[in-house]
Amino acid sequence: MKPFPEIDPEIRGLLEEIVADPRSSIRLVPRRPLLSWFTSGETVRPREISATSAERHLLMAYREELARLLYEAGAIAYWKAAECMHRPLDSSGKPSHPTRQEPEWHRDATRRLMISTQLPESLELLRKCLVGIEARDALPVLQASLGLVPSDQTRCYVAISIPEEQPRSAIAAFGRLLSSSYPRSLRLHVLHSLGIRLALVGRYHEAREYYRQASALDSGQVGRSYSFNLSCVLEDELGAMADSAELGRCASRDSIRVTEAKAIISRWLRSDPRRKNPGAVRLADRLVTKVSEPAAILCQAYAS
Amino acid sequence: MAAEEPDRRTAAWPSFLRGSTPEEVFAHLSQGDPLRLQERTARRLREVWVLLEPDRVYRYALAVCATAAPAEEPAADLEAWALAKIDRAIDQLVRSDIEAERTRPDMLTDEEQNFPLLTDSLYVDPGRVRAVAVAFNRLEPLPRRAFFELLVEGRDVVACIEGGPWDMDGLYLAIHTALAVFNLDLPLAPASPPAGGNPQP
Repeated sequence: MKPFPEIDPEIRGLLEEIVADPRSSIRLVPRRPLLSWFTSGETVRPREISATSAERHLLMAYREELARLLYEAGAIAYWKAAECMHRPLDSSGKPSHPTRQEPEWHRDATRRLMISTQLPESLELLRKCLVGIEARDALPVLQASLGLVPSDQTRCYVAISIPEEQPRSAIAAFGRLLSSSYPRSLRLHVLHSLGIRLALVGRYHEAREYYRQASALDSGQVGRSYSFNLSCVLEDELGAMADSAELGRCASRDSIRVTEAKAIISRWLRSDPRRKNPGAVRLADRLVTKVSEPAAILCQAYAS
Repeated sequence: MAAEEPDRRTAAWPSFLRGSTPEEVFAHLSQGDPLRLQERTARRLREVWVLLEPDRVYRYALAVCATAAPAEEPAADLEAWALAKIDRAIDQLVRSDIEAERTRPDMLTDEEQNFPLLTDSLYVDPGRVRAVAVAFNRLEPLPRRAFFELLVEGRDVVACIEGGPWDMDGLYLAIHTALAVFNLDLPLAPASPPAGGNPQP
């Protein structure tokens, strides 16, 4: 990928002069161009995926099918590395592992691509996925799918797949989805994902608010588990008690979601020592005998 | 009888633009953005060098399209039709901001204050963003173009001069003029641009 240029040093120098002037409204000199505010990240088009006009024609003809295959491959790629996201539930109510669908996806993709035998080899992304779906391919594969067929569901996955080191891009993408997406199920997913991203960058109050909003849209077990955790991190005992009460109403001590949340919270705490601050540990320790049973299980994440 | 007449609109509009009311069309258009309005509005703002928050223009363009489709004959060229609606949305928002700045300069809605390009990248105070955008959008095309090419697109000065209708002094004057809307009047050097230093588009 072409590296993003920097703003010309001469122009940066001019901006620095301006910022130094007390009359100026500008308070910061950006290093990078402001282009990212004017792109939706959806500029992948058939001509960018494929080279010749014949190939582009075929791409147009099989557009929907290819978009679906790319979407499914992107989802599998994402789950190969996802650590902080709760897993979807299967028909028996147990967390499923979308990565296990890879062999089936491979068979399906191979069969379909054989039907359309003339499909170009230069569909590099899809070809790569047929060799093996890799976690790092999630974002480009999903963007390619989105480039073929716009859909909020794919947009949501694109936002989820934005690398952890680009939190601003991800938060902006989820913000856009939140203001425009209508299906309830998607909104729930966006709220959870926004909570995760904000928590990862230390914006705990906002993250907790999104988790609480999310908990109103489903059983509440996932949202309340994480908002309880953030109340502990924020050393907000009253907030934790409120979250605990809500969690006690919607989940039992052997809830699969609570067990999963405990594991995710443990990983999250371990990944950055600053999150497991002494005040939070003390609060969790104190709360363990006072809160609802599912909340008490979450408190154990701080003891481990 | 009206009922026997073929409905030309429903016959030719794509499914996502079909509907008897703007609300119905809006619901189709909002889900999945099949007209790619979000991408197109962002790109169009860069093409016409207008400083507006892209998502705000997108939402407005959605409403313009949803209102227009049930009232208009099906468009032969959907891309051109969408572009015309985006231009209308941009034009109406520019006018609306000018009017708001005139009638309620100290009162900004949440939507008007939400302009992360200015607030997050340049740290302009949220209460000032509408005034800045209005002043910027009132400028002649050349200063606006200079701002977009140098700061938004990130082109270097030499490439910008080579590709534009200006020489070095003209570009310098243009970017100074553009940046002056951020409440600043730096002394210009040279004091008066040489002949040919201020080319017209």
